[in-house]
Amino acid sequence: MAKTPEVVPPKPRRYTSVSRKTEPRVCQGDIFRNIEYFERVIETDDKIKISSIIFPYVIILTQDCDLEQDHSDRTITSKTNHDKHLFSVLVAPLYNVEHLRGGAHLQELGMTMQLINSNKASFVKNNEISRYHYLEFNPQDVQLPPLAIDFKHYFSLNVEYLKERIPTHWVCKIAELHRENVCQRFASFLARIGLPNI
Amino acid sequence: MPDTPIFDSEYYQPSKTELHSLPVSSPPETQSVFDAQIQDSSTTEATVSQNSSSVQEKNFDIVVENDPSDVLRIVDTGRPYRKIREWTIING
Repeated sequence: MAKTPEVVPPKPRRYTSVSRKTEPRVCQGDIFRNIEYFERVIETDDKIKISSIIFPYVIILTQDCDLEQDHSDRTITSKTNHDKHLFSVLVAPLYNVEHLRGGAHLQELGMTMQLINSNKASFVKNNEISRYHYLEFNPQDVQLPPLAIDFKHYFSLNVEYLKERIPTHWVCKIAELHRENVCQRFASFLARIGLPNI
Repeated sequence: MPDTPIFDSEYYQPSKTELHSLPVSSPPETQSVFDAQIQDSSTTEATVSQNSSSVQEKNFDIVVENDPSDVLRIVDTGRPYRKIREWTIING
């Protein structure tokens, strides 16, 4: 008698929770869309060129307490000093995971990136590669494709620039537990020690 | 599933059309090009006024113009892209 194949139920998806925007300021874990990073200004004899890169999605990585204190410093006029002012906010880009796997996520910038084959794809999805942090959202919460933060590509943005864009470019804020996970992994990535080849 | 949507009404809520433009195969969107150009012209004005003082310090009579190639590439493919704005300084 033929053995009936065992039906394996699909693994439940572990979505990244998102939360409401409750504060009129930039918060750690906020995701913004279409953010412009000013790459360089080139001044020649008769030309001024400004080169910038538009990132479809970025996530805020600066500590939330720093962002909160910066906001207080800017809004409470009775403060006697500007000790808590921030010059910039750390962010990292989010790339579409499908583009990332094909190594073509930066093709518009003329860059070819490393292919991530099917074996390594699961490493990305399980956050086993320190450089990337995988985020998958419940479509009921927010309609974003699976995204991966690339910690190596972090950059900084002006605080006021971001604040002005909250009404138009803010997408969602990842929930605290997931936010802490992202920041812990980012800190770990920055703190890694490069050892010489033996 | 949450009882209430995560977006406050005053904040931006991306439409399904925009979000669905993320896959690789999505074509360029005419609307995106239009929006970007509008946005650029306002940015240009801001930059012009900022530039005036710094360039005058160098004793230039300045004419800052928005080059037609201002927007080199605005294609919404869901990937980062580069934008180069260029202005010409005409000496007096």
